Amino acid sequence: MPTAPPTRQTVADVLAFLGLGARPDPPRWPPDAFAAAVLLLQRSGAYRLAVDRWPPGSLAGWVSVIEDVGRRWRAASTDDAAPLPQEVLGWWRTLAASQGLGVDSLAQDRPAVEACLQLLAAADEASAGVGVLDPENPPDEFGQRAMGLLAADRDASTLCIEIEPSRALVLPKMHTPQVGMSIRSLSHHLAYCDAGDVCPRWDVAPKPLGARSLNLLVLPWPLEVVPRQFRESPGRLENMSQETFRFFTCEMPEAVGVERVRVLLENAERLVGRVDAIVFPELALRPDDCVRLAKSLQRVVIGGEGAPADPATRGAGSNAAVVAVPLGRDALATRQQKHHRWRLDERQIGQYGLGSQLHPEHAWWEYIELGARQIRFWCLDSWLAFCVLICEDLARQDPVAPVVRAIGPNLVITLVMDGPQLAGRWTARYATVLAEDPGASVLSLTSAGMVRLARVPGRAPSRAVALWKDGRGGAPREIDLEEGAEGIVLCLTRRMTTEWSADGRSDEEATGQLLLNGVHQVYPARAPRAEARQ
Amino acid sequence: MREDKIEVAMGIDPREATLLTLVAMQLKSGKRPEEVLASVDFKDAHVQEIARGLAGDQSVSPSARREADRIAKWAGLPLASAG
Repeated sequence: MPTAPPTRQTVADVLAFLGLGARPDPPRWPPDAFAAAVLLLQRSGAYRLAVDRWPPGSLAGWVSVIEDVGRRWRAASTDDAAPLPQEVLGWWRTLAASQGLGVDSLAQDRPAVEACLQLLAAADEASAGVGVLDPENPPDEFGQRAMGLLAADRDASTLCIEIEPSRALVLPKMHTPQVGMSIRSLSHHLAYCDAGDVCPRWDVAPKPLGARSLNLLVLPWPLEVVPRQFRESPGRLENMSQETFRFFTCEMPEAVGVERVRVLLENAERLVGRVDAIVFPELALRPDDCVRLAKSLQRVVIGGEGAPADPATRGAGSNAAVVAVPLGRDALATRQQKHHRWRLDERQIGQYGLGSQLHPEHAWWEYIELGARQIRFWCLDSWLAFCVLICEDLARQDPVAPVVRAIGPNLVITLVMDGPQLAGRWTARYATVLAEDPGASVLSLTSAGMVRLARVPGRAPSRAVALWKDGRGGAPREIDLEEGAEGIVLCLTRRMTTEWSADGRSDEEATGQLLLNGVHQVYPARAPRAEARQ
Repeated sequence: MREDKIEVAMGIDPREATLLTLVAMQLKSGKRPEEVLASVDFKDAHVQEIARGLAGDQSVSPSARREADRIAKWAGLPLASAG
């Protein structure tokens, strides 16, 4: 029986995929229209025309027109009785008239491309400041409805109303890339994310920093790691070649005491006045430590929590990044599992001296569960959102890198279990990629124990437990833990910068960029005054 | 959206924090406290108590009032403890 020949994907198909097909009028809610415009421009590649011949009029005219349309669309979006701006209606109808057009031909249909670009820009302007509470600007109905959408009880956040989250997601955005030309270059306030194998969540801290700086106490613990802590683990993969591959698991025996952290926190605050968050590396903590510490110390705690695999049940271990934010007598918490297993090869086994435990003839996979993949973005202030990645998740571009680049957090914290954080090693390479696009500042943190265990061939022993890279340019900065110190305070200051979208719109100095402007060693000895009290 | 559920951490679900931010926004926009509280469905009793404190309820616990005051101070709302 003959089968029907394959058919071209049309504009109508794309709109139908989003659940917006066969309608004469645009969605009332700007993020829904934004998703439609982005998907059409992306699938057709026509977004590049924004830097070919644009705008339709003069630049000053374009910016003021689109800002004005955006303002009117925002006001109308929450009032069903209000008419949508005529411009928006006109652009959508132009698009609707091209519904039969193949998406691969869209770039040749100049009116349809212009309609898409203008819808995208107007929806973006209409959504300025979405996803944050800015005390300087009274929240309007649009901002409140958007916050309600972000708080919805579902795995992935989205600002869309008409587009179901299994089809596409739209989230708040903090950075517009200033290099290259991609679909992400066209918006300041909204990020489009394909729905897929990773769920992005946007959470808002109700008690923001309220400061122009962020002081992080980084504790590169454990301070000692020995090869015996790595051991072979039986697994559940019956099809895995035992000749080639084996599983390993890590024991991190040192329990973290609240009082030990409290002393360092007090000493750190004597140095810099205020510590906003405490950061631990990958697998430095046991399950629930972050919440326990956040509740006791009343600070944001970010850390790698894990548990070893269980040989008796062959159950996999866990490896997750937890963010705990104190709230009243409890703490808010997010737990994001590591997305990729670490694979130790012969070179790394030699580098960390693990030959007594893990034979270098095999490739050793970290035996951790791979749960549903999620990436959590925490908005800590109107100018600051961050996310956390765990080790391999920075190096492997899939599946989180496109989401991180789309949302453009101001800060990416990468918790690693790795050797010294040197400017010539892998973390620096991937940090540099994110610093350029989307423009995020990147901190990677490992444990002093792993740094001591590692011997990088051809290099002298190092004490670099952390690496900082910001979007200001220049080389990544290695951060050492000095002899006797148990922590480091990093003083990150905010610089408000102007970013430009590829269609010529400025965000008028609304982007916060974090710069490293202070590194202080923190020692465990109690200050004399504290000792006198005992 | 997906069959396998996202793992959650011990502690309060951060969605509750976003809801709390929404309450602060609505109060700041001038909506009536009772209308605001009726529109938000908190799952965590402590967060709900903080929201009530933010909305001016004097009967909340001291820890909830302290937290409500911190949020109110930042958001430019009247302090819960001011009565």
